Amino acid sequence: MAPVIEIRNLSKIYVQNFIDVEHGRLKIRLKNRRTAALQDLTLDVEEGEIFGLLGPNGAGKTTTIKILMGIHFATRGTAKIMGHPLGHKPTKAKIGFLPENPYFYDYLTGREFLHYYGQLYGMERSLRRKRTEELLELTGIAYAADVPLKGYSKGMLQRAGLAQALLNDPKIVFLDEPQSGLDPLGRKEVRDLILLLRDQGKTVFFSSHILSDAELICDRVAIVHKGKLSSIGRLNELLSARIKEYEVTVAGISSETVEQFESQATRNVAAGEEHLFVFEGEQAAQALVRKCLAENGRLISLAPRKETLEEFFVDQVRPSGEETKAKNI
Amino acid sequence: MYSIFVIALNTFKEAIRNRILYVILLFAILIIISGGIMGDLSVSAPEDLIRSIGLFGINFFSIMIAVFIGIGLVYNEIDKKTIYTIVSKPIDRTHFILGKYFGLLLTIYANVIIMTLFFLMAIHYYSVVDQQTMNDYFMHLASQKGSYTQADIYMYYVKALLGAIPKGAGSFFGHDPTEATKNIMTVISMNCFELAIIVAFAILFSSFSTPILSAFMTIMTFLVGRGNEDIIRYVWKLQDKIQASGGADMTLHFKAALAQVIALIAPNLSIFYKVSDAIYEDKAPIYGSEILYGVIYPAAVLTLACLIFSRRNFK
Repeated sequence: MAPVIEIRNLSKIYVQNFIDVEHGRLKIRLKNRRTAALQDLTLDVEEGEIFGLLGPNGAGKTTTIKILMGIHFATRGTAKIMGHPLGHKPTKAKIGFLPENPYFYDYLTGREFLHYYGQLYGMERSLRRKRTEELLELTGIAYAADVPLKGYSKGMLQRAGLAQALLNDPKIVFLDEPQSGLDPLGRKEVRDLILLLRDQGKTVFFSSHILSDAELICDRVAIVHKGKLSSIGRLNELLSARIKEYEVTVAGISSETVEQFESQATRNVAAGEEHLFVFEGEQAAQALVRKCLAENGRLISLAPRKETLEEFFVDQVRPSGEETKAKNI
Repeated sequence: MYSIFVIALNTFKEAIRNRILYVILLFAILIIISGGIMGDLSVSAPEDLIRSIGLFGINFFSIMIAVFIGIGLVYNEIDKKTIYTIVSKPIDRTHFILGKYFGLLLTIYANVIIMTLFFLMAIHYYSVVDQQTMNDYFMHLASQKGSYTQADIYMYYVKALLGAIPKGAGSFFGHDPTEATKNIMTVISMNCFELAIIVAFAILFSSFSTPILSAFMTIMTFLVGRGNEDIIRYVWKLQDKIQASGGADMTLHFKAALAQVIALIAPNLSIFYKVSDAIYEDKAPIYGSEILYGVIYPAAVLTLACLIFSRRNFK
């Protein structure tokens, strides 16, 4: 099956012109500063998948989406959506887009806003009316449908933005940071909505900072860093390569056994007669389990812990020797 | 084409929900109807002053609306990033610019119609409440009833006001044209072509610069446009001087060339300002070449705006 989004060597270089005045000398020069926001990005997105574009601030996620949406023009490279080059109008009619921190016409009410966008999609009045009411309900802003958007909170605007992105019943939905500005409940609703869209056979391409949410819903992810593709693949391919550590919780074991395994564990916590040991290696965990059973202790839990997307992400984007900085992402 | 209509309608909605519009309109109506008060100050022809002030008011305030609403229309869409969701829809960027243009033009023309209605009503009102007409009326009343009271005078004003409303509206739609109103519609129609050019410039500047800079550039274009014929006269004067000096003075050559380029690029707006026709002509002529100019020039400016806008990366 042909990919629905094909990106080939997509690059974007921003040129900023400015006047440079040398101090102490009468010398004025016109200079330009070139910033590579995106460098040779190549990736495919398959039909019906939830694809997460992840990366720290300034990585090039929004630039990629802006190019795909025709807001920016690529300096180099090509991209196709549903087999057509960017800007193809019949293709645009089949996609939905939610920008980051959306801001809409504050003089329009929620309902007027959706009708206006429906008109831009060329939708018939009856269909527009039907979809508007459906989406106001689905996104939970039906109660504010006749309130001007200037009276909407950030979260409500995000929901209005989601509603307009789904107005045309799109085949592909582009969501730029769809969960920003939402409370935990709102985030969960967006997550559920994205999963619902996939169940309806739609392709979802979204960028996010919220890695825990991305891990829960993405079929595949791409990590971009400093404008370059760092890694791409299915989550189980990227993360299942190794089990990061084993957590063993036991109770009723002798103090000698505790002492013996303390030295092998990377962490251990005691709470009453319960002891939690964290081992990097499987063998030490197995040895503790055997010892516990031999001593007639109780094995409360044995949990191999896989690498999380967040840990993988930090590994990918952390410059060597800058651990602290990476943790702040 | 449908998307142009949709964007134009939304732009119209945006403009009529903007409070600045109502402030400008209120001032405009006050100035237009105040012509009669100032007319009292005129020694010779107060009705000429009423018409001059009214036509000036309509022209000036419609340009104010074009500048102060037009300059932010495209810029705000980029600044507030509403343009992101617009360009991702199946429409051309060109349609967006044209929609904004026609939406603003629609807003201004609607305001011109309102101002014209008030103006025509004011003309009818002042034609009834002028000193001579009132004297004749009350003399007649006194001869019939023996005397008249202050209440009769108030009643006269009320009747004049109520009578001016249907008469003004009638004049607007061409019914029963009077000497005072017959040329006004022609002159205001010519102003509408000037507005079409100013709005095109406001949209052009707004498509690549900030509102303050756009306002400055639009007002400058308007001023240069109105003075275009003076610039051409200045060029002729310089050419006479060059001939007289034997063509040796290069500064004169440079000045003449610069003025010629400005006169060529800037719109000639003075051709649309025909207030004197409304006052002194028996029948104001229809200006075919000016109308053609008023259609082609904004089309050229809008083409440039579309070219700039269709290549832009939106921040």
